[in-house]
Amino acid sequence: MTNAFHYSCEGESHKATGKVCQDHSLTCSVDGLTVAIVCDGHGGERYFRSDIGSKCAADATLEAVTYFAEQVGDTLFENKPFTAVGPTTTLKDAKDLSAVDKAFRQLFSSIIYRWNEKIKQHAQTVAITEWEKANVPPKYLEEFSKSESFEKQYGCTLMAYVQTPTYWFAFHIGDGKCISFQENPIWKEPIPWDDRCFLNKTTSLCDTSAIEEFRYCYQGDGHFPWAILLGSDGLDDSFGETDNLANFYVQILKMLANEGQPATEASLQETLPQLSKIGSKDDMSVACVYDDTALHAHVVDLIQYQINLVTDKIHNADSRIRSAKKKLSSYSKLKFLDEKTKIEISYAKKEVSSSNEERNNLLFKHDSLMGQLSLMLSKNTKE
Amino acid sequence: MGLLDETVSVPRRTMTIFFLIDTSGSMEGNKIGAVNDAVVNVLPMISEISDTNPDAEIKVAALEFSSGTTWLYDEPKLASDFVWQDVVAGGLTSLGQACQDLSAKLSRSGFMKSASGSFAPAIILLSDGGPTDDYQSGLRKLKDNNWFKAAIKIAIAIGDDADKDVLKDFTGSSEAVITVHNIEALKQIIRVVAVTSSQIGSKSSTAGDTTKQDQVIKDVQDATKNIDGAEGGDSTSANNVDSSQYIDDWG
Repeated sequence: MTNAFHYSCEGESHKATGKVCQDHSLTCSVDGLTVAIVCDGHGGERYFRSDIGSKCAADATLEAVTYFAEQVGDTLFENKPFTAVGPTTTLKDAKDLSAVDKAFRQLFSSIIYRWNEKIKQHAQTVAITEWEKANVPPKYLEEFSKSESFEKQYGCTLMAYVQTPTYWFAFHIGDGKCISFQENPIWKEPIPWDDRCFLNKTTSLCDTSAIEEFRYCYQGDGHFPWAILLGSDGLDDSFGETDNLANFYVQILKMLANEGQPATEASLQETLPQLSKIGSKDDMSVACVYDDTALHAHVVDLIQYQINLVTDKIHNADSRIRSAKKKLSSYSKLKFLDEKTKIEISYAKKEVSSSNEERNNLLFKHDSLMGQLSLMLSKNTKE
Repeated sequence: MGLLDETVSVPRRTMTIFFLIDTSGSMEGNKIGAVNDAVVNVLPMISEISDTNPDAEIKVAALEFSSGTTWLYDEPKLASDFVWQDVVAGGLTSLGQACQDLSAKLSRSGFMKSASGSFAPAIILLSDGGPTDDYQSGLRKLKDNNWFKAAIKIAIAIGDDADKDVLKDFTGSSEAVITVHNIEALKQIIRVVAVTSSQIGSKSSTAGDTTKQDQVIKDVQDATKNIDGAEGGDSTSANNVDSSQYIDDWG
């Protein structure tokens, strides 16, 4: 059975400045169509209505993909193997666009159009507020008042996953990360990355060439990810390396399997604000779709993945310890130590000490995970 | 089981500050002495900014360039761990090679981690002359580097012989080039630039829509007005100081 849930929370830095949460997430699963969406409104002063923009983008996307799924039926993706397409700038002039590529371009046009209609309606019905008068530079308010299009003020990113009984697809414009879980490799980023999303720069629905900035993937040969998680960049920036983010998602999936969805959602609502505080300070959003049966069948794989990850890190720590000790050994043969060598010796000693400490922590994690694995294997044997 | 239990790592975000130091022969004497002295003194200040900053930790890397180039360490080190090794002047000014080396390190295979979890670096270039190698091809390569494009870039021109056009080309604006004319000004400007870049560069948010680079330039320019023997930007800069007002004094 396919389940879905989502959660967004205000970032720690937003609390300090009185800004509302500019992320918006959404999931729904109705009549065989499951959708997960995460939108992240831009934080700059010019984008002062991006919280509304991200909600409009999520609503527009849900409408557009629902219509899309009804219209294209099952034939468009029939037997299509997993296919991933990067930013479509290179495709726009191609004469031989596939039927799927054409359908996606139409879908993205529809989303942009619907989003523009929604933000236009909002802009024309909601006058500049007292908060905006007090907090937004006059030049941006003037731009808003004089403008007939409002993309910049409502600018945001968009990431979506759509699943039907016969196919699935996902698409993305902007930053944040989408991670899918399947047989092999256990996790991957199915949607190609866009190198224009770098540090605090991102592509956006409000860009003039937004339609060319969408990237996407799809599959219609009967294979589905058994779980997929969409996270805004606030989450991504808290973990740095994608391995760490995937490991957090593994924790979510393990908790779903062990403690059920309500407990996991409650834990997520408690955890994301904490994570924002110790991590990126940004708004945080997660949207998750998972197959409950497949999830239970893969818990052992998830634990094994974490064990492998920790084992690799133990090997890395071992390697650093060996290398530092080798340096120390070579220095011990010197009769005269110049200043530079003394500094290098001091660093090598620190490296041994910090790597040993890290190794001990990792061994503790390894033991804890081995305990979880053993428990799960014995539970599976009894069943 | 919690979602943030012992199996999950939430590393602190990182910002790296790069010192690119001209150690050519013309830097010999008081100039190089002042640079060594100033960097040693500013490291604890950067360390304190890093320790008290909830947004990110600050790491330091240093490259000296003369007839060749040398990284002081083969990885960026936490400001609190960075032990400064006095640099010695002698040789030519291989700025082009320094740009190439910096570009190589501004990458995942070099000194940088994932862009997620990192802040743009700050790069401080100090030079008292003009490049003696093909700096343009090195700088061209560097300018294609995404980390460099996003970086805070400030140059300190040490004396009137420094090629300010080259430094302007490196930083992208004449306002980001600060000229110093005496030892005390050199020391103070190194401190101001390093501390300001660290403070602004390692914060999650910026003031309004101003870029971090612009904020650093503004704060450094403001501080420069109060430093005798230092002038910010070009002759049309905010402090309206004509460079001819100062005579180099490296005695």
